[in-house]
Amino acid sequence: MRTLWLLLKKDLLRRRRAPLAVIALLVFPLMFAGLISLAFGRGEAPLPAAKLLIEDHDKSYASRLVNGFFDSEELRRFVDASPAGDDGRRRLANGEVSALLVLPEGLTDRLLAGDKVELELLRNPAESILPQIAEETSRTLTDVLAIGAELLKSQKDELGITSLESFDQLDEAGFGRFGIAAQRLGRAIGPYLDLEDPIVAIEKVELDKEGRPQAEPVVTGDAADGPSARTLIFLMILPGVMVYSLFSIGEQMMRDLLFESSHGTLRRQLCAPLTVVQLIAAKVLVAATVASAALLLLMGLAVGLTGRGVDPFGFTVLSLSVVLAVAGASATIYGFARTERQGAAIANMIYLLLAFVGGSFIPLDSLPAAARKIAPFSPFYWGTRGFQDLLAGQNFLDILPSIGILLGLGALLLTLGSVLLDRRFTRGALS
Amino acid sequence: MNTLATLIRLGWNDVRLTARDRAAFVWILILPVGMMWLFGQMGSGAPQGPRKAKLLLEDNDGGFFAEALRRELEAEADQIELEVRGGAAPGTAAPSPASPASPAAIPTRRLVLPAGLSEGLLQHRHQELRLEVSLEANRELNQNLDAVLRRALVRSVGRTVILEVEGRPTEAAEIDRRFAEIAARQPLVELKTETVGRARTAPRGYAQSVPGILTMVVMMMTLIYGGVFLVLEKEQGLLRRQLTLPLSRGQLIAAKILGRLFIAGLQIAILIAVGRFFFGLDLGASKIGLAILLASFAFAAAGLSILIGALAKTREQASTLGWLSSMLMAALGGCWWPAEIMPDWLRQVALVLPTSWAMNGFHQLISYGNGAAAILLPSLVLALFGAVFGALGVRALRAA
Repeated sequence: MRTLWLLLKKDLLRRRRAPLAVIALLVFPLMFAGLISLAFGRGEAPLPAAKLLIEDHDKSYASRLVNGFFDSEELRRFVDASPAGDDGRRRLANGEVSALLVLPEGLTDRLLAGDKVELELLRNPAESILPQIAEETSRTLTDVLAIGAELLKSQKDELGITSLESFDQLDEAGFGRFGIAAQRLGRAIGPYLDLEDPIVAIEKVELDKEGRPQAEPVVTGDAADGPSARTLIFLMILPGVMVYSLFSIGEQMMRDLLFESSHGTLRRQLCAPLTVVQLIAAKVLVAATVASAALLLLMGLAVGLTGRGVDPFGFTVLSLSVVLAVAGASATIYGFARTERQGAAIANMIYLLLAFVGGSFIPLDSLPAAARKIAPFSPFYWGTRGFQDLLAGQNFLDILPSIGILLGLGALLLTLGSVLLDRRFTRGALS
Repeated sequence: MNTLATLIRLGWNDVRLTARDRAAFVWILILPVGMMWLFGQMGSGAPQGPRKAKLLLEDNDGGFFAEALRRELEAEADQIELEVRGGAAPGTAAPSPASPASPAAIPTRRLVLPAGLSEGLLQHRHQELRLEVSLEANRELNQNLDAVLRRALVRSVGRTVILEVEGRPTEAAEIDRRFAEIAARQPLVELKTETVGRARTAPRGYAQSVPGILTMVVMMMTLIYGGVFLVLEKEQGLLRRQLTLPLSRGQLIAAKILGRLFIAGLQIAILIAVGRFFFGLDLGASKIGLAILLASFAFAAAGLSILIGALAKTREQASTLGWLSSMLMAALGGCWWPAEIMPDWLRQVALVLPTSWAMNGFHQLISYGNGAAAILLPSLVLALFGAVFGALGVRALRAA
């Protein structure tokens, strides 16, 4: 045991002398999750408002109605509308806005006359999502205008107007008839037009995995208490990137074996009263120790941000399982790799693919169906899911599948890796 | 002329060293192609079409308004995968909204229409529809669904208003008939949409993933291999030995940059060919513009790799710095997701990264269909990045 401790201490002291690579791997999950939370943590709407310019050739009642439509509080969350001015098309061509809506000349007159009319929406080709939002909203506007035009058309005889000019030319009697007809129309449609309290409303409820309604939407803008939207996104992303970093740290620690082999220090160590098993065990221990320290640091930060604790037993067992899987995977890869560079390349490639497929960088529901199907074959999936569940308040029993799979996989890979490394030592390929 | 030949020979040596590493094949070809496919599939421009929001419509009403909503939602088949329970369909009674059978049976999204919805609406009573959304549901698709539901409600309520104004019949069957007649009318106002520019390839699916992943992996590969080779040459004294050649320090660094340019160029050529022939990537209106942009980007990556190799003390540090910086630059530069979804301030910050300028250039050529003139600014900025990084690298090498 003392020998193992001395070997571990020696490697940790060597690591302390050049810590940049490990520090970088520790900083990576924080930076990555931090950037994503900054980019996407903006309350209930996962996207920024689409910038829409309105090129107004009508400059009359209809265009005022359009401006009022986009000025409603609900729509402002999705669309940031403003007048196009003289350089609207240039701004669209420069990619400064998502779309430009053209209100044609004589729009009000044509609506009053019950004639068909076409609005035009020009989309920014360098964007795909925001112009779609601008289009959806403009279609809703078109629907509103179409219904208004239909109503005016059906009441044309009663109202007695077919254009702005005809409205200006109304005599006293005509104006009286128009007033009565407008009042009747207002009474009929009034109950349906209460924008503050719409006659048909949608109550949106978010349900958890068991179908229990959540009291508050999970991601809210500026919650008075509890984590903010940015923090929640940070906590959602951090576990996955953290698991990826842990595997990368393990890989770096195990790479040291081939580095020492190529530099002859391994041969020198074998002159001491040491067994090959002790040497391999020490390298595995180094990987496990550094990964555990990184895990404690990152999870400590995550727990601090949630403002509530996690199940300590569940966390300990899951961490051990992940560390075992990290050590096992690294040992196996370096059991096969002939050179340091080959091992690093293979490990990075495999880890990157498994991390993407396992949902470490991108939420699983955004992955294609084929990738979602193979996700459970990635240890990154189980590690990410386990830590995410713990941070969401679940306990040891809830994360038992993650623990079981990681423990089993870790034990299997560690055995395989140790056998491979031992065989290479015995054949003299490593020493 | 002799000097140029020597520079090319030295640069080509880096290509030989890279080609000797079998893992390089994976980094140059297999990994990027896999990622192009993965990210392309995630984008809604993948061959199987855009992803749809699954919605279960539980109709406990069965009246004209519920029917109108159902028709509106069915018409949005490109955005919604609709399943209907209850309503007029026989034998499909809607279960109680408050009693989901088991967690496995909980739908991702469920819209519950209450009993008496249509009748209550005609009596001007406020109606509340309940939309249940699982926490696991994709938020982007939820947002699409919100927009679709909003439009369906506007249209259906609007037609109810027209029904009211034109004179509402008393018989339920007659109401249904009149409502259907109103819904069948041609709308008086329509929206024509057009995408500006010439090429008109929206950056989604492979049109986003191929340029994005190409930018990321070329940067990653150049930084890792370029950085590690330089550290290796420092460690093994090869750099000192090369200084005995009849070359100035500047020429030697130029040869190093040339070598990295060769490697990046090779990778770019392979990935562009794969993007074009396997993923059907539109290469834009100007091939010359594309070549200038890619050469400038490769130069920026080569310069940065010299800086990383000069700063790193060990190969481990060089490779870690290489992949770490390339991943961050890719994420912020709009290689992983469209930059449009990032807040304005972050897009401005990203302008200090070469990946951001490369993606801007790609959009100018591919999305807008502009000519070579449109990529002059991005290419100049990228070339400037390369020159500055290279100069800083030379300084750091001298200090080392």
